[in-house]
Amino acid sequence: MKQEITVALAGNPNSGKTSLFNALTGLNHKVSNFPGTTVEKKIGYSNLNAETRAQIIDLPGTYSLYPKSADELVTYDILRNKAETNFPDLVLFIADASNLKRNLLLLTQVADLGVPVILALNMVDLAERKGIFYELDILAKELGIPVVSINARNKEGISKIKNLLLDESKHKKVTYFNINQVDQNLLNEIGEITDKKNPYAALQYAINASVYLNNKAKQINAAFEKYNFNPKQFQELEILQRYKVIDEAVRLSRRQKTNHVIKNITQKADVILTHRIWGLVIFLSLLFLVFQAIFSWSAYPMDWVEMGFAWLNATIEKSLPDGVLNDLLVHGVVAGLSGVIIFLPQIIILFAFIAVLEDVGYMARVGFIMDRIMRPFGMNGKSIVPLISGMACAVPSIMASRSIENKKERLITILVTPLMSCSARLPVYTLLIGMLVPESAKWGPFNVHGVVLMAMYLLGFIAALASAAVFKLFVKSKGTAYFMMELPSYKLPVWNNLLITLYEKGSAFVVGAGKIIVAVSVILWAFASFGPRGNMRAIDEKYAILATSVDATMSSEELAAQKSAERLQASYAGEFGRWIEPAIKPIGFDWKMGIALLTSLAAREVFVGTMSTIYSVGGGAEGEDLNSIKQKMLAEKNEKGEPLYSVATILSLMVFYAFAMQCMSTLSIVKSETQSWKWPIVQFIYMTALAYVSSLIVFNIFS
Amino acid sequence: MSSIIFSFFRNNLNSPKINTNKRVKLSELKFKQLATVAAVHGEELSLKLFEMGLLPGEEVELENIAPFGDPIAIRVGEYKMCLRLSDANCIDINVK
Ligand SMILES: Nc1nc2c(ncn2[C@@H]2O[C@H](COP(=O)(O)OP(=O)(O)O)[C@@H](O)[C@H]2O)c(=O)[nH]1
Ligand SMILES: [Mg+2]
Repeated sequence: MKQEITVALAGNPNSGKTSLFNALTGLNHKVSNFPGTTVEKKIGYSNLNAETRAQIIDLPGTYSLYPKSADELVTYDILRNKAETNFPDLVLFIADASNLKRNLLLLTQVADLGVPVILALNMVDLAERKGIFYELDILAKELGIPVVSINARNKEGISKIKNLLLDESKHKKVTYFNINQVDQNLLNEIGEITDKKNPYAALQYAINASVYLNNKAKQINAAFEKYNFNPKQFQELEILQRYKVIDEAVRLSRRQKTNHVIKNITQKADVILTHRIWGLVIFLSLLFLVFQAIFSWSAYPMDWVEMGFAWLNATIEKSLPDGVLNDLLVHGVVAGLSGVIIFLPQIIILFAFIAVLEDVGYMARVGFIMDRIMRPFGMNGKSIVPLISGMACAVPSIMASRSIENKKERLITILVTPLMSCSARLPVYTLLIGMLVPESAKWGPFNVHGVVLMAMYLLGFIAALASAAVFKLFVKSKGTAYFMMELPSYKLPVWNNLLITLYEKGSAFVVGAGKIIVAVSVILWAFASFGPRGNMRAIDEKYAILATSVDATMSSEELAAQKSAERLQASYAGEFGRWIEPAIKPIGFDWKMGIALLTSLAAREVFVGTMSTIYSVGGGAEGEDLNSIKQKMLAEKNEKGEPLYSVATILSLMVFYAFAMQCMSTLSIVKSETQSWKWPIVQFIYMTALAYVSSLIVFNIFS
Repeated sequence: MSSIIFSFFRNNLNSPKINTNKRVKLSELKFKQLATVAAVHGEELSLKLFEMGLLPGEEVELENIAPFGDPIAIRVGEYKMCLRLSDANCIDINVK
């Protein structure tokens, strides 16, 4: 058995933690969730020598151990609790040398928790460009801990770090802040309440607990009052004293070449990229480009996925005997899975763009540009990333809202993100728009199809902003809202790190959303396959007779398709459709669309498959012959003999699918992000109500 | 309508003649002026700003203004950060 040490990577945001993590562990890591949260936990392994390996944890970046946002809280939770399984033997602190002072504040706080710390000085190349460098031995002596300089981007200095991780004699516990200035009686009492021996760790935990963590808050606040202790004042004093120590260490070790003229590329780029006209023009053009890419580049890979699943289905169908298991696998599990995987290409392309823009440093500027626009809607500049990603899939987008510090702004962002038209709506729009206008129709140089599609996306965005404005009135505000963040210097992306990010996000999506969609598809499959006993048997018997009759007006395939259509109508799903019909009649839907609404609860795109089953297109549920579905749907008449799919009904359907909450995966992620059932329920109700009312209006205007 | 409000902010930023070594608010800093932080008002705000390295004595410089006049991007010591004008209004600076 190898010996193992646990190392936590800590540092400010953008200091290079993830780069160093990748350099140390390569692909030898896995992403999971921290218990009770959906915050990503990245754990990797690095072989230090033949006998020892390090388990390395990449913590979310933070500026201090007084957390202000959900992701910062994770870092604090790991470092505060010695009983925690992931509590590190050692903290590898990574600091940006081009901005050392601010970075070291967190280091001194982490060390005072009583964990040994070693310092990796990163981005020395950037510091050098500013004419700054540090005498490492002086810095190490002043701080009392080992210091190495590295370049995480180019993987320089990695072996020096490994040697330091191995050399236990160099792992030192140091303290920077003198806790004895605080009333000893208070410290004793707090130590008892929090059950912590280290007085600084206890006090810090108490301060955080009195604000964020509710347990023991009463006791703690009582103790604070008793000793006349003002936590905010203490924090201020603490920070200022820490900076004093840091200032001294930095002053003594820092060397500056005075005659160094630097060309600041970042500042030059920002003059254009945040310009009041060009900034917006560039942002919108980029958005347009991303949008185009998502749809044009993904066409082929999506075809491949589809072909792959068609092959898989055919193989299973052939190799397993007919029966329930075969049917369950083909029409339940595989159909559900293919519904998720089909969107993987689009999601990967969108993530790739977002990851590049993030890595380069542009995303922070987007927040900067958009903050003023988002503010009247109760959101902030950081909300723009979830909203944009929402065009691919709401699930990862909602996770991306974690960086928003203010709870109200974050909640509003989570609530409205699913109104952005995600890729699951695309097949539905494609089918319905195809029924409205022919593929070849043109308005001037523009393809009408594309224009209508754009309009649907715009509609989603407008609805998201409008709903946000309404929520702003109702959601209670806790804490002040500010928008403060670092605008990091522009950097070229590192392709290797980008690929690792894409791999992580892609697999998280497939596993996370996949689990739910498969589960729900299986349940829905059961609803659609079984029905009140007598009815189903009658159909089976009728078709058994038909199949043996010599009268061959129909091929066996057509017969099978008709049979499955009739079975669906007789199933529990069909019963549901008829049960809900009175409610959806006013918006122009009939009971068959009612079935589709039910099956769409798993995922919206199931609409198309359901329609093809109901209208018994040859080849069964997954035979995606769009044109023939379209023809059959258009030929359908209502009881008055008018076309069932009038312009009014089609538009009503489109609006309904744009607004309705028909995604279990989203609801479950909202539940875990908000840690309550309240908000997914609110979201379900408001979106469904919005969809219903809008469809009602649209249907009545056009009919 | 809104453009009037926004241009109001912009005018504010370019407001005429600030004497050297005069104490003003960070929201009134002009391009190419150097200043040092004098004080931050508001307990919670000052904690957050201190953690981000914006402390009394630190050098600041206005670098960019967002398209609608708000927020602003400033250089604080060795790095660049952004903040809203309403927060910048709570920061006193000494213009050099
Ligand atoms: N020039 C330079 N860039 C670096 C260095 N280390 C990391 N970077 C870049 O800094 C950016 C932020 O790094 P990342 O690892 O994502 O930081 P994190 O936010 O702490 O995880 C990325 O664009 C990296 O490529 C370095 O030593 N020198
Ligand atoms: Mg990172």
